[in-house]
Amino acid sequence: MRNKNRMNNTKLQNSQKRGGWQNNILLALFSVVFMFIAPSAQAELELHISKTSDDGIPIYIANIPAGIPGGHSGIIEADLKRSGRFTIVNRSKIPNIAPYGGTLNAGAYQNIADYIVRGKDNGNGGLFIELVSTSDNAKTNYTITANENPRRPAHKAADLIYEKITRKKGAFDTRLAYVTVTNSASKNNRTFRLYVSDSDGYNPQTILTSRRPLMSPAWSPDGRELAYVSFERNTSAIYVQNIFTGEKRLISAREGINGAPAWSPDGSRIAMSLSIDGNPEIYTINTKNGVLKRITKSSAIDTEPAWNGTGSIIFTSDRGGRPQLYRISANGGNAQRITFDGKYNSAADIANNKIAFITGNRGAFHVALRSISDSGKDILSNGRLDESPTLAPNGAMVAYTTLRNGQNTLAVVSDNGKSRQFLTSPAGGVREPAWSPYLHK
Amino acid sequence: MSAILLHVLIVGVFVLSFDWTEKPEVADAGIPVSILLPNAEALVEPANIVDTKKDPIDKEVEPQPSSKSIKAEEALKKKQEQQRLAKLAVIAKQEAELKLKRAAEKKLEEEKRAKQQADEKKVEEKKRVEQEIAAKKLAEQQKIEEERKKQEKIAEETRVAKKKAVEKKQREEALAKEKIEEQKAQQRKEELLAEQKAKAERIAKLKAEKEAKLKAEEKAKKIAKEKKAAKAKKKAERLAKEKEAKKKKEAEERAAKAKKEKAERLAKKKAAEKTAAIKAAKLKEEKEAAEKLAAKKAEYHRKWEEAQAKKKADAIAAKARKKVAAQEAARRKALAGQKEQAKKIWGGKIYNYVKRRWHPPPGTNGQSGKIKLTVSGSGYIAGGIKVISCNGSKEFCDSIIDAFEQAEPLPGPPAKYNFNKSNRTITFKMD
Repeated sequence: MRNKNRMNNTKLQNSQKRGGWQNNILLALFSVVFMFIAPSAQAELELHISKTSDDGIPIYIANIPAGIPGGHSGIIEADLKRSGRFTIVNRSKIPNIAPYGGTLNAGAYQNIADYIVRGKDNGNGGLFIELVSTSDNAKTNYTITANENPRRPAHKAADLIYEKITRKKGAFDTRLAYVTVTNSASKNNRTFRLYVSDSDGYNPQTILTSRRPLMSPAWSPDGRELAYVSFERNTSAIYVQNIFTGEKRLISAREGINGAPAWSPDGSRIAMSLSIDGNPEIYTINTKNGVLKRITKSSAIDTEPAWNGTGSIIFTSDRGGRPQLYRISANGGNAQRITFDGKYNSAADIANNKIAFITGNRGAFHVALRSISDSGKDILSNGRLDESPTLAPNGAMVAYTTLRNGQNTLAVVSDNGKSRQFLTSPAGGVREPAWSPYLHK
Repeated sequence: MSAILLHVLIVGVFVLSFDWTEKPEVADAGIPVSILLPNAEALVEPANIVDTKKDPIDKEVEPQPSSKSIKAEEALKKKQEQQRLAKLAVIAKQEAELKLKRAAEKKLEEEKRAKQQADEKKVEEKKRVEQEIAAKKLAEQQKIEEERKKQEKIAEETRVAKKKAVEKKQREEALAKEKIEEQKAQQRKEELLAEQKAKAERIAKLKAEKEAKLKAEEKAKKIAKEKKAAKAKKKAERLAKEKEAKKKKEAEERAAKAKKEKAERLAKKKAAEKTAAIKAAKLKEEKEAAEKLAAKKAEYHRKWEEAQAKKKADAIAAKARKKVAAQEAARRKALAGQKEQAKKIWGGKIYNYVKRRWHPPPGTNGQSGKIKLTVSGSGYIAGGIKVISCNGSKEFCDSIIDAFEQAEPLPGPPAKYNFNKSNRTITFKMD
């Protein structure tokens, strides 16, 4: 669904891969001496750039007041910071900057910031934004229209700034769906709620409330519908619900387990895990005609399907004795194991050629990120029991749940691991977040 | 007090040692009782009492009793006697106890009194002793005081005597001193007078001697003068004669000598003229040679000096040239250093700029790439990015290219140093 970008798995050359810990040590050593300058004045400059860096692109966001906490500038700053690609320059470093529309000699601030953002509310909830490069004084202006959700113009502005600077699409103006459980200890009062919030956790809206378990929300490619598992019939069933109208329809309520729905990127199919024959297997169902197709055939548990484009599915299976990730054609066939590092790898989510998944190591479970085409992985989270990773549509951030003060909390980490934030969420333990696709409206 | 308490305790123990409740009821028991009394004297009086009460009983026995009745009567009597004795014994015992008690009380009182007296006596004794001690002390103090006064008096007397003696001694010494001084003054006076007298005599003598001497000298002078005048006169006359003769002789000699000299002079003159002519010719030759040599020398010296000057000037010029060259080299070096420094700073800027924009795909540890590019004066990449090597995945290698494309325009090279292409060409190793 989310893999729209290049999918060329060929390598320029075979990489000489080392073990993770060896690489870390070498990187730490080499990062100390990062630059080598040739001794002769005539000699060409040679620079050594290592991946390890805490710095982001320094950007100054001038105050853009609005009738929302922190103003538009606060939202933009938080968004850019969360991406792990920017360092927000403290406003005190450029005091008395000319307001939006005023004369600005950006080059004078070249040593402080690479970019300066100024803007103003247009009075109707819309936003004027100006992005200035301090290296060449180049200016880019944006006009963002108002929205029912007063935070969205700022998220859109952050997306535009992000895209202009990184040349990658921003994913701040997106949504998160997740389930909360309150009174989980009391069977009679236990309440499950399906929420949809902004990507930064603000503005949570209840989509569904139930005394029976709600699980595994999954966004449709158009971002208008959510598939989820409900036990409202006392047994598991998969529904699809429109988040704006509340209209819902039953997709599967077959005997046994009906779980882990996942939309194909084109929205024509939903992959799921069904135990029609007693053993959980991966199936797809056509969303238009309801035709069911079995994809996996094994005696093991096959679950948590995630679409890798429209052609293949990556899923979790313990067919090898322990949970690992496997890839199989969307039409079925032989599955290939794709994770070999570690005894536990599960819960894959795919976006922009990246796979986020949970990897277990010595009793701790962390969010890991790897490339579709490469077997190396980076550990992104640092909790003891991190679960349910979900990638932003641009693959630059991963939302997941982590155990904090005895309760599952929503967190976001950037793909380079430089930024980690806990998101605000309504009361109760948070489960199974799902990051929406890009919003079209 | 403790003694009183001890006595009371003894009496108490004594009284309590009797168990009054176990006393046999003599009248009821009907058995003979022998009572042991601690004090035999106590029985004397009750015995008398028994005697006085015996009479009425005896009177009752008077009718003629039968043997049986006599026996009964005897038994009764015996019994009554026993009862009486028991009663007497009890009374005696009580009285003895009373006596003992009284005796004890009396003893206690006496002891108390004795003790009181003893205490009083003790107090009096103490008081007396204290008085005695005080008196003794007073006496001692008085004695000490007297002694002290006596000592003081003696000391005072001694001090006065000493003082007097000292004063006397001082006075005597002063007198002796005065006397000595007087004597000394007198002696000095006498000595002075003697000295003055001697001096006057010496002066007078000297004066006389001087006058005599002067007179003698004057006389001698006069005589010498007269002698001298006569001698001078004589000598003048002789000298005048001699002078006349000498003058004459000399005139003759002079004439001869002049003649001779004239001839000699003429000969000499001729010879001299000849010699002078030769000498002049020689001198001329020498002079000419010397002048020649001098000219030659001067020329040589001039040339040498010129050469030296030239050499010096050359050295100065060379030095100046060297200095200028060194300055130029230093300037060039400094400029090169500044340029190098500027290049490093620029490189650092590019490093940060690219690094912040490079986001390699996950799990690419160990992969690395090397690219080369030339930055234009405005910061744009001139001629594209040349990948020298890349051992990573395509995504990894692409991420390097992406980083530079994102970073474009890169920070431009410092315009001040006019970097050439080589200076603006950078190789990046990225891992």
